[in-house]
Amino acid sequence: MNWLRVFFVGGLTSYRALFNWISPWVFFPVLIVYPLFQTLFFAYLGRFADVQSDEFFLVGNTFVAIAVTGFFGMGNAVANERRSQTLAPVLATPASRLALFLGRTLPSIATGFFVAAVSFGLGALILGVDVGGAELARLAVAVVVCSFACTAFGLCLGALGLRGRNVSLFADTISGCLLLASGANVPLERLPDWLRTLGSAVPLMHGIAASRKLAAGESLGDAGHLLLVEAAIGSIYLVLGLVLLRFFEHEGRRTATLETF
Amino acid sequence: MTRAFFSGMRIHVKQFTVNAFDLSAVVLWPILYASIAYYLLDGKNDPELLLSASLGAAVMTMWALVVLGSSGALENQRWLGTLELLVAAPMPFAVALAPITIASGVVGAYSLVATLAWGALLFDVPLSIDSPLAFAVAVPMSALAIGMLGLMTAATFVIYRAAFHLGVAMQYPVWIATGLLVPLSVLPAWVGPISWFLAPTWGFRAIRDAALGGPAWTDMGMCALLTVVYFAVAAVCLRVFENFARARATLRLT
Amino acid sequence: MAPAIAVEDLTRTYRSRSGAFRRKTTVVEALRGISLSVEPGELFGLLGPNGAGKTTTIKILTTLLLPTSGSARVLGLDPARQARDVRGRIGYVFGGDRGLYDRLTALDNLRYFADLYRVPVAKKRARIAELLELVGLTGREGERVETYSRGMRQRLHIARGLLHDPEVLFLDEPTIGLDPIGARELRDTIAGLHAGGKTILLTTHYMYEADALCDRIAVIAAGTIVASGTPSDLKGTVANQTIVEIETFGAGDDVIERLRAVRGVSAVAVETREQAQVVLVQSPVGAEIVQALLRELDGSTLGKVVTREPTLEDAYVELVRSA
Repeated sequence: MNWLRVFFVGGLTSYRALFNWISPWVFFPVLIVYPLFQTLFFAYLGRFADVQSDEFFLVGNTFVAIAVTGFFGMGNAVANERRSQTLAPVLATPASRLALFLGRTLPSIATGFFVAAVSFGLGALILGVDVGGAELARLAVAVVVCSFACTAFGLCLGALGLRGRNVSLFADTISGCLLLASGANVPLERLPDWLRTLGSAVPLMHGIAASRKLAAGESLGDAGHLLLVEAAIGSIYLVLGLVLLRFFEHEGRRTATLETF
Repeated sequence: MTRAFFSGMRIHVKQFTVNAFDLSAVVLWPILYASIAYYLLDGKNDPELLLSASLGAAVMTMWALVVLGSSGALENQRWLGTLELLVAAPMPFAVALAPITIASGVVGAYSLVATLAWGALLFDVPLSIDSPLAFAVAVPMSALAIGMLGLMTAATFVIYRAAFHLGVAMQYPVWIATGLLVPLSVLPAWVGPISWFLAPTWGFRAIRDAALGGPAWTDMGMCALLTVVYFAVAAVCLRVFENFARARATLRLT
Repeated sequence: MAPAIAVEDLTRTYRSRSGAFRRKTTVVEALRGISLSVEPGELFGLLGPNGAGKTTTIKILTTLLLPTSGSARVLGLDPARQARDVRGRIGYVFGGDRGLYDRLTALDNLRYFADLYRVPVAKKRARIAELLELVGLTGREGERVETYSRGMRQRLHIARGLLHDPEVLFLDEPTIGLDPIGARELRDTIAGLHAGGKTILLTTHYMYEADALCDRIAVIAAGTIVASGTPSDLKGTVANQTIVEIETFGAGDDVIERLRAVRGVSAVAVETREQAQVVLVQSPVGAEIVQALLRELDGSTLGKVVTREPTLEDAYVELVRSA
């Protein structure tokens, strides 16, 4: 019972306390304006280069926005605990670590979904892209899966942030590389093999590939295996993140890494 | 006053070279944008287009660093509590702020090296510069003009608390409206007149025309004109906004 | 009855590596084998200067740090191995500005920690209201913590530490940085908790605080306990001494050395108080040394000269100095 409380209610409370972009002054420029204009930028570039369609870039960049939300948002939410020095009091409680940290992922995943929805909606409006209701529903599934995977990756980054690593730098670098290597803006077949391999090791690539199929009208069954791969990648990073957090807690107790506490 | 200006410049340029974030901004991001452009434009089989893309990506970086640098610096000053002190100093605030924005533009210009080298090494982008003299002048002139545009936008950051995030949001709109990677011909017609008032438009044209052949000196003239206009507007705006912030007591608030 | 807290030969070393090339390992012995015990219902003070090992001790007892060797038991449980059980039965309060979620209200903070401490949902609301009343924050709980003064934050910390009604409370320098009134109010609250039967381990470097509040005190310096007992016991170590306080302006080291050499002097300490120095000369009762001291100080500018009985502070300074 208490586990669920800590997971749901506690998770939401932590989100309100630590998620950097809650204030509308910050949310609007970073999570609404920025992704929208990024989409427009690449869509126009695509038009000029005669490559693919507006829909291609709309879908691709919507998913990049999800990645940004997950990497930065979740990453900094975990790392901020260090700044406010609330890690010690929180870890001094008998609360389940799993409930504690897992609970924080839920609001982050929801935020990713919201950002994707707004970004996609506005982008489709401006570019004049028409996507049918059925396709939208299926895309929503892909968005949730991808948001989960990106949040999980963000959790990993955040764990590293507890040890003083600069979360924003990592998140920035990786989301930048994903602009190129995930298939968001450059069709995968144009990319060199090594870049594709790198891109497939992190979230986004499979999610985007699945959504392209879904946007084209294919069924969830057809695109399903790609979504499963994305979910699997997300799960691996989730487990890695939780293991890292546990490890750092233990390390912190053993070596008194006072920066952690 | 000039001494303060140049020492300010020196400090900020030096800070940039030490910061990992800024290294990534100067080297990695321009390469990423240039690469995306190369992969997409490859099919057009136009080497000049690719060179133009390299130059465009570099100018994009100049603007990004200027707008992020100035908004970031202001937000930093807020957090450190020194914003009030800067405003209280006897120099016009514009003079304290200008070195930051211009230094950012200068550092951004270094990304030219990254994009041109990357393009040449991996994508066979030709490194031919039509008029080296014009090129050598165009680059710093663009940095200066873009820096001044940054100063003007920084005026609004003084009153805005989450300045850095506003800076983040202002990257793409300017990149689009100034035809850096995406030519204005692809955009709606009304964007054209807007682009004339933005420094990156003319800075980019100057650099590109110097490299590929074109009216580079005219473009540079526009840069110079805009630089003056921006500075005048910025000085006035900063004074106005500063008073606004003082009246509303928001200088100290974080 | 078994002690609430029992520490035996506890040690803790830190290894820190510095330098990128020629790696230098510094070994710091924060605790060099300390032993103490706290009875149930006792208010025990751990007194010592900065860096003495107070926070390290508390962190080990509150499960946040593993000891290098030795044993520690809280309510019969081992904080190193039975961490979860210990955490549910102790409260940990540390002073300072941080440690609370600034963006949330005090109420949100308390609700969150109540959940983490498994306070039953049915009791949560009443408990929080009761604690807000206790620490004097009723009416302010709806405000964001970032607007709180330091004193208010400290009080909120205490409320947080008491949410699950722990048997043992650990207070790490709770009044640090507080203004005199705020500190006094907090001390009253702590005294009230003590009167209510809680076992409290308090660390502080404020003498009068330990003297006023604690049943027993241990003085810790450089990782070892140099003295322990009741406040009167400790004062007793200097009971047969007199202190002569001489206010001077600019007495050099050579002068201090000469004072030390005066027959009958046990110890000399120098304090800086605002514009002047105060030389504290300790000597056994009956040794008439004032004249001899003044002779040595001939030529220096002097202010007040006071002869008084030693306080706990003098005992403490002497104990710490000789550690």
